[in-house]
Amino acid sequence: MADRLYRFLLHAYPAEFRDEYGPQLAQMFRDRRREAGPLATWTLAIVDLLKTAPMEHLDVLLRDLRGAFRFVRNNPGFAAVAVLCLALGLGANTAIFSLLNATLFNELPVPEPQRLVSIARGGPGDRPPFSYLDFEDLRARATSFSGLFLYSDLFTFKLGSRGRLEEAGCEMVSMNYFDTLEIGAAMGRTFTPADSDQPVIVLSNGLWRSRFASDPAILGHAMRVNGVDFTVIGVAPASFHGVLIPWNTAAWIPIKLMPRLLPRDAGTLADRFADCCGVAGRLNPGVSRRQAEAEIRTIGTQLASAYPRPQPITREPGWDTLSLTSMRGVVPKFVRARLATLTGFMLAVTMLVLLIACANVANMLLARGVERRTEIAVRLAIGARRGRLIRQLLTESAVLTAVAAGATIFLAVSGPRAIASLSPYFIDAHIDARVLAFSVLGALITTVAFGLAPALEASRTDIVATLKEYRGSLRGRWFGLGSALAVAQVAVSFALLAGAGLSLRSLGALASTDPGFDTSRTFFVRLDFSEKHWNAAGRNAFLEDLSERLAHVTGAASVSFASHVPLELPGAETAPLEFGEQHGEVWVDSIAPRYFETLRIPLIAGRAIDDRDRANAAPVAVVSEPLAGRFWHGANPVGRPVRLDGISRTVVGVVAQVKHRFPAEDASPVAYIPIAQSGPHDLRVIVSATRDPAAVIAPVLAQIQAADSDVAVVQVKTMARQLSDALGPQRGTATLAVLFGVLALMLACLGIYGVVAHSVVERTHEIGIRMALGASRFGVMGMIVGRSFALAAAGTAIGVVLALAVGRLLRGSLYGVGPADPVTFAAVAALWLIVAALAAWLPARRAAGLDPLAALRCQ
Amino acid sequence: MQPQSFLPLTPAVFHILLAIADDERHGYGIMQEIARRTDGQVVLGPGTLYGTIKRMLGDGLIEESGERPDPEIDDERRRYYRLTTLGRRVAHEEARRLAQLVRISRRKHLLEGA
Repeated sequence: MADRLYRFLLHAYPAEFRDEYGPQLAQMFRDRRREAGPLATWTLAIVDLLKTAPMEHLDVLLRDLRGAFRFVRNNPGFAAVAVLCLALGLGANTAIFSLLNATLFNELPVPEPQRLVSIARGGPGDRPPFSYLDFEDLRARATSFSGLFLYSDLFTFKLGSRGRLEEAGCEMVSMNYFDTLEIGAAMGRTFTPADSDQPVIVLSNGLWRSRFASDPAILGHAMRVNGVDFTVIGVAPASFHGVLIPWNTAAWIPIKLMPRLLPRDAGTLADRFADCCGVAGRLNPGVSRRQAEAEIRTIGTQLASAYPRPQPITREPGWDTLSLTSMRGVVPKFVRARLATLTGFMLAVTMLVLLIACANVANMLLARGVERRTEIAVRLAIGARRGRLIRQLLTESAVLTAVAAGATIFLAVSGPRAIASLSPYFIDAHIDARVLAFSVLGALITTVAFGLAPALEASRTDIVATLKEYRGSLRGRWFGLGSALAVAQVAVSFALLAGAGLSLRSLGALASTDPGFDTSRTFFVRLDFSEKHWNAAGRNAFLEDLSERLAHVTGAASVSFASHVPLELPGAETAPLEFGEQHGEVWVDSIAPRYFETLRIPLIAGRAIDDRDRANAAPVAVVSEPLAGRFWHGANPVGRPVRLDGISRTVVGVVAQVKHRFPAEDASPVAYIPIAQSGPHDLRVIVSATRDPAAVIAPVLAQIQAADSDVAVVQVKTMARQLSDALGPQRGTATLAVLFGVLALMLACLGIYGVVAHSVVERTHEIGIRMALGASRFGVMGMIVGRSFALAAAGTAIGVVLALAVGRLLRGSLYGVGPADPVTFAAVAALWLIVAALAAWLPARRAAGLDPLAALRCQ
Repeated sequence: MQPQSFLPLTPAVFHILLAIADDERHGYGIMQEIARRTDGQVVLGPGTLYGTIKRMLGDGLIEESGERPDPEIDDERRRYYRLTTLGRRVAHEEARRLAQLVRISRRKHLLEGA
């Protein structure tokens, strides 16, 4: 019994060692037991086993590694191609995963992040959940938290200092924000309760570095925020980017300053139902999330009954039910969903690329295995175990993967930054333990994925046939594992290329659509107002003066002003429009006279906004064609009364549609109102030049400075550039899609080449016979190229089905092209024909160049 | 291979060389011999012993002298090991090296009173 147990334990040793010495070990164990008794024997045996079994395994591993390195050294070309394939596949995956990791899984870089929770409301909405008064009540009543703090959405403020001005996303926060997060200042200090209503600002490390060249003297400096003078009191640590991941917060400002910075929102903080901010907190030590949630839920019910919502304020069902969610950065639901879809999709694509790479390397190893048949047969013949051979072959695969994984470090570090820069969001992608674990796991799975099948196949060698050097070409399989892998590669790369083709066509369609406004010689200037311009009278006076001055600039054919220019994402505002029984949200742009003329937006009916529409004139509106279509269904709306944002206006004109926010948008309903009749808002100066805009910009800027030196220029941009920038995301997607598509194509091309070249080697004898029997060289070449075409055709057929599925996934982001676009599919199929011919060319030439006699002799 | 290139030997290797220096022995015999000479201070486990033997065979320090039945116990075939010429020279060099160290220790009075 004891002997049997010991013999069983011997399985801890490598099979080779066990075969050689197992009986001796067992014998020794028996001898010793007879002499020294069971206790001493077992103690010695177990200690000995634990000590020596790993050493024996290490011994085998080192031997295999030496063999693998010898293999790599003797086949440098093979190894280089294999490593390249794997590195591209693995690198792309690690890069994409690190993005996914950064956006969805990362915790905030604060002490004990698991104790941080944010308070959420029920219902599907994505608006900020709480008003400032809600926050004060929550903070006063809740006892489960060591602190509850408030944070606003990201607001774009204009930060000016040392003669420069720039826009940056800022969080407005309660004074305990940094203390509760337990984030100390890297320099200076963070907020204290005494700062509550003081104009003080904490800068992010990034802003401090980029804007102030890490100047330590920044503390105490003045900084203008939206025209209000602030004092810099501190700089946040480099690792902290705010709680609004995936946005990058540039600076933090006390929430109490909101009325001064955003005059339009002057009443927000005192309004119980003006939801403006999020609330989060740190659980007291020892308080469970469930306890805290119960308390928060009770407070939510109390608040709901204490402050019933007056008509007409409505909220989603479940709004008053509070709950706690863990705080992994306050990624808004829609952003999280979009990022998850996007990165998930990209991860799927890169995994397919990795799959192709694996199939490729597997194919190369299969071919190599056939060439090494003799070596393997000899080893099997002298008694090597099959398991031992598989272990050695897998070690070779692992060495290839390890080298590839080393090479991927570069891709994994630089890739995410490059991809993140294509995204409108701030993504703090970096290599952490989770990313490392992912890539190690990926490398392990990859090793098995591409190494196991060839290893099994190679170790199945028929010893007798191989040692007799019987090539057996005539019974060689036309459609073996290798061919199946090649077909799969073609199919996957076809689908990826089709996806890339669809994105490209979609981009082309977008770029060639008419945006509805003139892009040839127009440009716009974004202005920053100081506080005095926020009242309508001050602004109107300034605009009149500026308009007068700009009229004299040579080269400026037409000048106008607006709250928003087409294809601008921020700045666009909506308001409810009512006409009789009908109502709906529409975009509202405030514009000055000559707006349509300057941007060359055609007037369809009625009149444009002109100099008659002063502040005290009758309120009017011009509507876009889609808006007219929606409310009046083809009837002429001119002269009809509407209510826009609660104000009665008369429709005086209809203009053609423009792309209002996105190039890909469908017709947007836009109402244009006279700028003189609108409230405070941002301002753009729009100029149509008679010659190259570059020559007109400088005199326009000079006139703006002359009109009021307090007004600063935030941005100058041509409308052509505006259109091109708006296509950025589509261009990014198309670039990535093409990149992956071409990568897949190259890999699959290599795959076909490998299979075909290998089949030529394997069938040398057969080809010799055919040629001896009178087959022409051309016929032989045709046979080889035909094989390549057959593989490509089979792959293409499956690829079309896959591509249809890919197209369906992409449908939402396609523009002007169907998901099953025949042109794209035909182009990719044609491309594959060429690639298949190219892949077969070299092997076919080699086959045609064979000397029949030599080929027959190679039997 | 030069004998010097094996030096210094691990204790296990040197013990095994010593154990079969005068007579060929099987595995358990080697273990017993080592234990006897060191008053039971050194007891090599089966894995350690055969792992070392495997490497020594690979290095050509010892060789198998064929299997034979144990005279004491019937029907158990055991492998016997003996020194090769190289093994003997390596053991000799190691012994000299150790002797040298002992001489130095003695000169420095490190062995007195021990």
